[in-house]
Amino acid sequence: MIGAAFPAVLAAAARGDEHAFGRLWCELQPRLLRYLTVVAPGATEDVASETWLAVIRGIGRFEGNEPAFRAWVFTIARHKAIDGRRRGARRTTADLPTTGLADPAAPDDPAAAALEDISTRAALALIATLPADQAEAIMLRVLAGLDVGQVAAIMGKRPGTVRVLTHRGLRRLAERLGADVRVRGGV
Amino acid sequence: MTRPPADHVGAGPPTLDEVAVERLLDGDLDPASAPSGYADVAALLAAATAEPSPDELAGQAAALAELRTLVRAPPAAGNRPAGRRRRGVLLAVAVVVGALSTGGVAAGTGHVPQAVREAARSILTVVGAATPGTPGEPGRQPTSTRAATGRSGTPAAGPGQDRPGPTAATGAAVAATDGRCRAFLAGKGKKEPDRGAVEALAAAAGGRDRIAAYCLTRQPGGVNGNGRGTPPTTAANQGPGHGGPPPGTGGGGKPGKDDPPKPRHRGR
Repeated sequence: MIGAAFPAVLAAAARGDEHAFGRLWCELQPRLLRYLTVVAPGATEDVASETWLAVIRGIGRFEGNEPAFRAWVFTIARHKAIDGRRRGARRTTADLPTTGLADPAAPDDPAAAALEDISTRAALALIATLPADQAEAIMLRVLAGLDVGQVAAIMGKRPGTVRVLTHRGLRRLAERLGADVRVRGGV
Repeated sequence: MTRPPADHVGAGPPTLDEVAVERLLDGDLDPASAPSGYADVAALLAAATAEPSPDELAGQAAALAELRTLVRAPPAAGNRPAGRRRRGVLLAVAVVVGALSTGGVAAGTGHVPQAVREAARSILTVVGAATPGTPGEPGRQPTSTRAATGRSGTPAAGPGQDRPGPTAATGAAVAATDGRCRAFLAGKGKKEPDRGAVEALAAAAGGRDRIAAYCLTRQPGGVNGNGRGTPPTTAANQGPGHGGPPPGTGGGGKPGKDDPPKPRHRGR
């Protein structure tokens, strides 16, 4: 969170101030990449780039506080991701990249990998095994830091539906992590 | 609705109340404090929200290059709001392009109208492209401080220097590039230009982030009055004042790598 400085940072970025824009970018890009890893695997970087182009073009017209800005950026990203899927990008966890990773997850057992070594990539891989809507609801709540109302608006669903999706997703994650522990006879 | 399998051991993780869900979704819940059965989920979400890794931040230079490309100069002191300036720049660019392409220059009459020259110089300054050193430029637009300090010692172009030579506007290729440039400049900030055209311009300009400067300086009778199809030589010397060095990955603003991270500690 940029916090109290956000209005000034936004205004400066809209004027083309690179330092200010860089702050917005640093704050959001990692979250964006992780979100897109789950909802647009195989096209993560492309969609992220397209998202920032649209942000640059539209930032002069954007009005709102920091959470609203995050919601706006992720809305753009979601639309770009959907466009990418329509153009034929696949959605499989096998598309998750392996370069530059500390501990690549075993694609055939993301739950085990997630338990053995909770790296970010392994965590995202397991979330990506959820049904698409559940995964996206959780990612928007957790990574984008958006509240139920914002997530509902972005996904085009009612807030109650978003809550249900989130609950189910969390429960399924618990089951998968817990089931793996039982199978392995672990703690 | 989906249910856990009937032979599922035990009752499965208990149903969460909203408060518990919120705590989990914050991503920084200590697993030891997590609702029963959800400690691992808390740990997983904490890993998902771990601090950014260097690889995730690797594309910043490219993103800033895109910012520069889309006609956003660094602010000078007390400049006007972005919206007004952007419209002013786009209008002025359209005027310049229109005047240069339809006016006497293309017909080789040999003299660029004073107003058009002034507009071209001030616009090129705003976009950070090459202009002869004009630190005292009155202009309608605020002068980019970075562009100004990047200048070599070239004095402001007087009327004599600005007189363009014979235009090199011959050949279908040149005309095609002119058309692409016009479309590119007119469409900047409004809609996505045709990708094929952008690629062609990028090849001609030596990088996507140089297209704006290239298009503006290649107009016949442009600021230095070179009149040829190639940008004036001073453009090449204005390193810092130019659109900036192209990113290592080239145009497109793509980050080098995808997410990798190794969690150090939780955080947003």
